[in-house]
Order: sequence, then C-alpha cells, then structure tokens
Amino acid sequence: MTQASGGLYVLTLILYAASAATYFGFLYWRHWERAAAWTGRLALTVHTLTIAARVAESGRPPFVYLFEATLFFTWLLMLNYTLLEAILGLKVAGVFVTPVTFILLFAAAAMPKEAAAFDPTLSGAWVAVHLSLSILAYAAFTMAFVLTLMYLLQERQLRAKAFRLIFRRLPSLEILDTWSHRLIDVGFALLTLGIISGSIWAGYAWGSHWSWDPKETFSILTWALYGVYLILRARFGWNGRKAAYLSLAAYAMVLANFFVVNLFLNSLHRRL
Amino acid sequence: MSLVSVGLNHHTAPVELRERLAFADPGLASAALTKLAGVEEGVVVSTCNRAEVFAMVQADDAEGLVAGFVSAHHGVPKDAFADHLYVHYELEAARHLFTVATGLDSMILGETQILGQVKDCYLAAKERGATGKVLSELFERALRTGKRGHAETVISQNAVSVGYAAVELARKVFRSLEGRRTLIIGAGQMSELVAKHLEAGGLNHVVVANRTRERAEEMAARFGGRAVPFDQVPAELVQADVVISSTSAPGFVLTTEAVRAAMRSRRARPLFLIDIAVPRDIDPACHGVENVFLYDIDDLQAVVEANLEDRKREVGKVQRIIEEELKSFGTWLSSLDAIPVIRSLRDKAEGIRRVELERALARLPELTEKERGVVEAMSSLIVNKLLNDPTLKLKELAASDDGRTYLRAARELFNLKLGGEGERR
Repeated sequence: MTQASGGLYVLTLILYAASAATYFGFLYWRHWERAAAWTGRLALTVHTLTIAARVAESGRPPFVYLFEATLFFTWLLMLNYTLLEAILGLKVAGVFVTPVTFILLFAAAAMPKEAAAFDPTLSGAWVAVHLSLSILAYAAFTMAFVLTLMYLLQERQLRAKAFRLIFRRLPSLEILDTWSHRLIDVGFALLTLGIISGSIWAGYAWGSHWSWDPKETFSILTWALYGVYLILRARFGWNGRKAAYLSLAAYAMVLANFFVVNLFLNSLHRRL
Repeated sequence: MSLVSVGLNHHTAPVELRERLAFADPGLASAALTKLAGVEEGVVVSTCNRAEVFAMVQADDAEGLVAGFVSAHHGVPKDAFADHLYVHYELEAARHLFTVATGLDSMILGETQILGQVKDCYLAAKERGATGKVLSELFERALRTGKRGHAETVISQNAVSVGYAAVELARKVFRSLEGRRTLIIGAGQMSELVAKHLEAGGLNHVVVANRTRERAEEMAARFGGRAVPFDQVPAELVQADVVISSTSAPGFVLTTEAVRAAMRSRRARPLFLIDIAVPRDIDPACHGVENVFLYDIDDLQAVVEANLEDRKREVGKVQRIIEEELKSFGTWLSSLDAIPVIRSLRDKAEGIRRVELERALARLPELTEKERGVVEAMSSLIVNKLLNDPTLKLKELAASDDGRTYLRAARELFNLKLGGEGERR
C-alpha cells in the first residue's frame, strides 16, 4: 500500500471509531443523533477516497485481495446503511453497523494485501462481475443480519417486559422484519447471479464450471439456506422470531464463507 | 424599571382559588395591565393550573401594583389570594418562566402542553401591543428553552399514562397504528380511555364485543365502528391487530387455546393484547405464544412508573439548559443598561462634531462640494472610530458583576446626562 491509500485507510478507521462512539452516545443523548450520522457520512466519504486511491494505484478492480474485498464490502455495507437511514430513519442501526464496519476494517489490516505474483486468471470482465455481485450480496446479507439482531433484541425486550435504554431507539418489529426480508430477497438474487457468473468464469479460467472447491460448497450452502428462508416465508407464513433465527444461521454461513474459507482452508479461492 | 413575575399555581393555591383567578382572555388582560401607570410591558399566562403575570414595572411596590391589578380584574379581594402568591424579580422571574416553559413546574413532570400555552399567551399579549423589548426577548428565550428541553433531554418523552403506554408499546410492534383493527372486549370506561389513545395514534376499524348489546352499540358508535355479539370474539380475533379487554368476568375471557387457534388462521401476523381488567381477562400464558404480545394493567403501570423515573432523572439536564439560557438572558438584560449611556455618549459626540464641522466649514468658504464632503466624512470617521471600542466595551462590561460601576464611571468621565428613558433599574 502506498502512503496515500494507507493514510486514508487509517483516517477512515479513526472516523469510524469516532462515529461508533457517537452512536453509542446517541443511546443516552438523543441530540447526538446528527453528530453520529454526519461522522458516519464523513467516514464513508473518506472510505470512498481510500478505495479510489487504491484503484488508482493498482489499476484493477478494488476487490481482488481479501484486504480490498473487506474494504469494498464494508464500504457497500455503510452505503447500504446510509441509504436505509435516509429511507427509513433507522438511525439506531448505526449503533450496530458502524462498530461492525470498524472491526472488519481494523481486522483487514492483517489480511493479505498483495500476492507475490498476480494471477492472470484474476483479470477480465467475468471476474469483476462475479466478485462485485458476490460482495454486494454479502453486504445485503450483513445489513439484513444487523436488522435481524435488532429485531431479536426488540422482541426479547417486549417479551421480558423489561425495557432498557436501547428499546426507545429501536423501530417497530414490523419494520425490522419486513426490511430484513427485503434485504435477503435482494441478497439472494445477487448471490444467484454471483454464483452463475463465477461458474461461467471458472469454465474459462479453470476449465470446469464447478469443482466443489470449499468456497463453492459454502456458497451453495449459503444460497440454499437463504433459499429455504425465503420459501418458508413465502409459502408457510414464517416471520418473526423463527424466521430471524433461520436468517442468523444463514448468516453464520456467510461469515464462515468470507473468513474461514478465505483464511484457513485450501481453496482455489484461497489467494483472494 | 424592573422585571417582575407574580403568580400562583397548583403548588401554592387550591383549585377553587385558581378557578377564580383564571384569566379568560390573557391577551386582553395583558393589554389592560399595560394601561396601568408604571407598567411598561405585561404578559399574562393563564392555564387551569396557574395564573401568572410577567411585567416590566417602574414602581417601588411592583408586587403590590400587580396584585392590585389581579384583584381588580377578577373582583377578588387581595387578602383572598395574597398568601398564595409567589413573587420573583429580574433573573429569578426569568428562571421561573423558563422552569414553567420546560414543564418542570407542571403537575405531570415534563408535559409539553404548557409550552404551547405559554406561547399562545405571549402571542396574544404581543398582538395587543402589551409586550415590549424585554418581555418579547424573555418569552422568545423561554420558548427556545422549552424546545431545547424537549429536544435535548427525554424529559417530555415516553408515556406517563396507561393509555399512552399502550400506544407506545403497540408502536414497538407495528410500523404504525394507521388502519389497524381494534377489538374491544367489554365496553367499560377504562377500555374506552385506552381505545381513545390508540385512536389518536391512528388506529381505526373498531369492533366492540360486550355482554349487553346496547352498551356495545353505544361505544361502537362513538368510534365509528360496529358492535358484535360476545360469541363472535374468536372470529374477530383473527381479524384484529389490537385487542383491548376489560370485562368484569371472573375467569379468562381469552384462553391460550383461543389465541393459538386465531394465530394459526392469521399466518403469524402479530397480535397485540391489552388486558386492563381486574381480575384479568386474558390468560397471561398468551404472552408466550409467538407473535402475540400481552400486557396487563400492571405492566402498563410499570411502564408509566419507569418513564416517570426517567423523566425525574432528566430534571438536572433540563436545569442545566435553563441555567445556560438564563446566563445568556442575564447578559442581554445587563447590556440593556449600557444602551442609554452609549446613546447619550454618541449624541454628545455627534453634537460636538456638528458644531465643530459647521465652524470649520464657515471658515473655509472656498472649498468645493467634493472637498466639503471629504472634511465631513473625516469628522464622522474620527468620531465613529473613537467611539467604537467604548461602545463594545460598555456593552460587555455592563454584563459583568461590576457593570453598574463601569456605567457610572463612563457617565462621570464623559459628563453624560441621561435622557428620559433613564436606567432600567
């Protein structure tokens, strides 16, 4: 990493830390809301610049290595959140999203940033399509995960009849349930396309469309779990807590896919 | 001139007295007050819990003057209420108004209606020309303080009545109450009260089930809904989003089985149950059914109490806001003292400039129009530049602890005679 993108990366981290802290303050002091939102937007802006600098330096799409993919992924997550906040006024989601973004970005510092030799199969249109669709899908799933957590927290408090601080800031169960469903809808469609485009690319690059690589296996499992979730909702009227737990299980698969497979398993996707 | 507030409220006076001293038309009363000799500005604030007079008065006995006005206005002898009055002067009067505006002085801590009432009374007085510089500033600042209190603390947040607590909880389940269906079981006063709160929150489609059909129909008519026989409850349960139950039945009117059965037909749409009956109407075990949320009267009361506790914890924060605003108002008020001194200083300087300018120009008749302009401009510039610092400093110093000493020093140094307006205090 050169100084430009490295410096911006550190600044982004600092701003997200500040935003996360302000969001926690917002739980106690309602008028911190604006400060929290604006620090978040500022962080997102610097985040955008970091990615732009990175692209300018390397001259390739910003998601080929895990470090970049995380950078890109958290960027999408924040963008997603900022849009949702504008549409729904879901300020309180920032309490969850900004710390998650900060932690992921911080962890990214330890992730592979460059490969010794750039693999030529990692260039071209299909790989860009495949990677960007997959990362978009994961960003949607992550946002859905955040809303699901909020749902479960809210539901728990309503059940326990013990209303803690965050209760006042949380939106209604209905909003949380509907929007996590919508986001999973979107994420599922993106993941489907991501898997198809990956398979097409694998056909060109590796000579086989499907090779049961760990990453491929985890992806198809993730896809299947979210598929089951959507079917249960649509056909069997599942919603609320049951649906929330199922989506948590599916998201655990996303996390395993993103971190465990990339970092520890021997996979064709390993170098990513 | 002094700022004075004289009033009584629910802490100091019984309701009978408050009734007798309530001002029917605060705007008119404010105008009447300013007609009295010695009263420059006046605003009467009157609600069912308080009657207060704020005035700028030039009199030795400001309290007596205002109390006399109240007595004459209502035809109530002074002795009847003198013991119940509180009187505040200057910044204390402002503090009192700020405290009232933020709802700290209200019967229900932090209620927001009072802010609107203060505003209405102020605007009514303003419309009738009863307010001047000081009271306008005071009331604008009081309104701002009230708004800040609501915005920056949770003093006015969260329900402090059972009905609102129910609405608040329902809003945590449903996106909005707009268009939701309510089933009222047992057409009692209490259920009507809660239903009214929910209706104000947007809920409609009211269905009333009651053992006596007549009562059900009466109540349904009031909500523009319909009445159903009691045995229709299970069927209505499938349609309803919110159920309010308050029958006098000894046993459970809604059992867990009935609720489970309804939920099966509802395909897991959330159901919000409010049980305000004692003994309870709805089996508490219903709260365990997925997507069913049941709150009884004790739960709602616990929410109210917790909310009141929250409000009490916010008092300190609101008081800090009040002190902040009070400090800034104090500064403004003291800087007013500097104005007559500054004006007289400027008048004096301007007078000297004119005289000397005339004299100089008379001795220089050969000057062209342009040259005369330059000389005149120069004289103005010298005066203005010279007075710029003392003007700013006087305003600043007047607000300090030794403000009056500084003002007197300025008057002595420049040998200033103050005009008709005189000192504010």
